[in-house]
Amino acid sequence: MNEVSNALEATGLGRRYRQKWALRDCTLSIPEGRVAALVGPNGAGKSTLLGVAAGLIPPSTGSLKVLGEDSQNQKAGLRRRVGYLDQQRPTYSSFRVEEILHFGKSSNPSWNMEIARGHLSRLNIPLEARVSNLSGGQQAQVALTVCLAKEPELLLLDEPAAELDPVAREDLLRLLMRQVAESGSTVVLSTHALNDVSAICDYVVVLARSRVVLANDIDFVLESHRFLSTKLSENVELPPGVVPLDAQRSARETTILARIELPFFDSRWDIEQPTLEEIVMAYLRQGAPSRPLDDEGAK
Amino acid sequence: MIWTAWRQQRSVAVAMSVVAIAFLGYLLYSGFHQQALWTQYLARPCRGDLNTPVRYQTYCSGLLDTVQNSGHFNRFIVNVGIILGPLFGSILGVSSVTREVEQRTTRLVWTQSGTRSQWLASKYLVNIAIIVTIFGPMFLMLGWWNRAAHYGARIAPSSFPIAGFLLLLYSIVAFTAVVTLGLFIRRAGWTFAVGLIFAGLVIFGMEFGVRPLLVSPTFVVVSSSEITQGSTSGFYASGGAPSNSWGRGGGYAPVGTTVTPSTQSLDAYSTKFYGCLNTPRGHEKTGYTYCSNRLNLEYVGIFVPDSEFWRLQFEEGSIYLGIAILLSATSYLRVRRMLA
Repeated sequence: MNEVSNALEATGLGRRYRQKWALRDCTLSIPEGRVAALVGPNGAGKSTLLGVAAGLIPPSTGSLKVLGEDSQNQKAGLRRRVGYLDQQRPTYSSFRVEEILHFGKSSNPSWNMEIARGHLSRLNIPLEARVSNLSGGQQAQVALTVCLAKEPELLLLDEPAAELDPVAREDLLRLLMRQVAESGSTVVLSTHALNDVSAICDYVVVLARSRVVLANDIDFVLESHRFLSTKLSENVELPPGVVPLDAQRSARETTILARIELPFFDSRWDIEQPTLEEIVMAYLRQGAPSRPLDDEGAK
Repeated sequence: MIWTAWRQQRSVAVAMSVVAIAFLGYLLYSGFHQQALWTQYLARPCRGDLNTPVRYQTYCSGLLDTVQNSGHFNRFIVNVGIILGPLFGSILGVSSVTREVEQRTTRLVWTQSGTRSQWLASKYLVNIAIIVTIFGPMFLMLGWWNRAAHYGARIAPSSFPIAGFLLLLYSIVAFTAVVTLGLFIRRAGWTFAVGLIFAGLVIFGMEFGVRPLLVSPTFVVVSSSEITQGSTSGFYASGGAPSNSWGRGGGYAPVGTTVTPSTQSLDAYSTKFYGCLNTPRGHEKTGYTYCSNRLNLEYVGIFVPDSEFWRLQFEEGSIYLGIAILLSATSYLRVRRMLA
């Protein structure tokens, strides 16, 4: 039996709109059971990657396997296993909330009405309300409810917390964590909020200029990056295996955020552990593709 | 999916039903009213103004005026009936599919457990059911109205679309055209306009370009009696195409013709005949008889008999159905590959 271990597996994936590449040379794998964050500036290709994974956008080059199947497989089997929340939260605005749940139920054999009603009840969203009369945040929650109540094996969430107030955002993150804990689903979410990434994700994919520049376990990413500081007067060369990502020079010293190979000992350098935000920001500033990190980190 | 497709179209279907019921109500009133007037006019003493006794002539000509006045809007009613088909079909197509593509709710529905093909099939099923529900009674009622109001021969072009089931197919063709175009154009307004024009062109092309090729016209010899008494001249024609047929014109043909002459043949002989009438001998009182005898020609009327009505309805209906199937297949292929 062919055992599936990756929820998403992209090989040379690219998507071009006319002459412009929205996503290019994307090769990555996101293991099952992870909560993975897609991070990158606007236009980096996050939504395109999720759209291809959801079967909404056909790739121009390469392929993407979703739960072991081709993402462009239009059969109902794969769609049943994948939940997708679009960035624009399209929903039937003339429907009542109750009718949206009915739509979800009639469209998904695995629909769990308890989850749907429970989620909306916690958020005090009335079932008889018309969707068009709800606030933007409430509409986003209704769209998310449709996604979650389907109980998919893979959740693709395009900026799920974008329109939510801080309380709703917190609720959403808790909900996602509970969902993963209870069902073992894989979650891939795109976000600009790096705080959320540290809080709930265990895998990070950084996209810049339509390319993947980092994709790995967050623990490994944290362990394999360090701030290295040295006095300016000391003309010290970087040790072998260290790849500088970002450098800051003050009057007295130079600080480099670098990818290192463990174990790392070098008395000439002061070593400090960066936060995930600092690492991600360094990659985004750098913007160029880099040598893939040690695959061991993903295991 | 079927529930969702119906829920989306519910208010549109209700609004259309209200319009259709109002139209049917007016047809009912107009049909009964005109039927009653015609019955009165065709009965004694007027008997359709044939051999009316002198003392009733004023009454009968007044009644004829009333009959004609009551039918003043008949052409308008027929046009409304014909326009409602493609109009409703286009509205249903835009509201069910194009608007969903435009508002990108396809990104919601295409990521549920059903396939895109199932989604499209549910749209077709629900909307065609709405069309049949609305236009089923409407085409039956228009057929009745056509007879009741003595509007015209059912096989004649003016009545043909409303006297059978073609109205239903106009609507289905417009619906499938708008659905298919909407998957390419993606904008509701443009799709509606282009779809309606497309449906109009198909219907127009069918009536003027295709239908005449589908019919098998027959002919009848129009007997003429020369008027030679008194100061008037000319001839009295009798016979001709039945009143319930689709008259396709006429012309001169050799005496004893057994097959329906072609238009070209009629034109050629008619030109000869009128050439003869333009001679000095032809200008005489007996010129008509002279030319007929000299050229051995007689006047024939070409017509499509009423008995061809259902055959023609089915043939034309099959073409519309074929167009609708072709468009549906295109939309099916498109929806499977299109970017959401």
